[in-house]
Amino acid sequence: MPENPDPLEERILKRIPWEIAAAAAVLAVGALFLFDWRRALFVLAGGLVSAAGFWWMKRGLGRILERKKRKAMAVGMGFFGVRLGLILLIFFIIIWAYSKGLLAFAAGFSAVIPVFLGEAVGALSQAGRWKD
Amino acid sequence: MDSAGPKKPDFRRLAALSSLGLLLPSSIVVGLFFGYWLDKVLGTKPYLLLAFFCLGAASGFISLLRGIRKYSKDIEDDAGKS
Repeated sequence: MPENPDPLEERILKRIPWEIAAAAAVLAVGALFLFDWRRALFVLAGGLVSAAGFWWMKRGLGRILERKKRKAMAVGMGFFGVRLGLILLIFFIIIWAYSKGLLAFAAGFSAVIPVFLGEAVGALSQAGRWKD
Repeated sequence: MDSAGPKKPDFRRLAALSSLGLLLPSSIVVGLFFGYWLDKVLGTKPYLLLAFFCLGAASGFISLLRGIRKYSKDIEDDAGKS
């Protein structure tokens, strides 16, 4: 990350993981009424993994950018490789152990998409109030 | 305009970070749903699901690394200008 990040921008980036978790919780409540508690739990778990993934990515990106360039990409490859490995492991465990929960987990995992859309719409709606 | 409003945030950085955050989950989810659907249609459960899931994850990972490289280059360029 840059040395002096914009406070507003930093605030937005900090709240995104919480918003992902909240969106997944809302989806989980919906799943609880439409399906059963197990699928609701999977939706919530997917959202939490997604929120943790974003938080981890943001933190990791900051560390990568603090280092020298040549070393940075190697560290970045390793760091994001570990992250990808963990995500794959979680999905594989669900596929083999309880495949009925896979779509529910994927739905929770994709809660990040409406959150980013909401943030984009919110930022654009405030654009008229910003000074250059 | 007037100076009462909040300072305009750096849209480029926010957009870059948002797209980096979306790359991996969206690729995985698209591969997963596509594989699931193909499995259902072709009756190949769970092989196509696994195959497309892995393809989605791999493409998301490659795009993520490309995005990080571009993002770090942009930051270096910005630092060079100022």
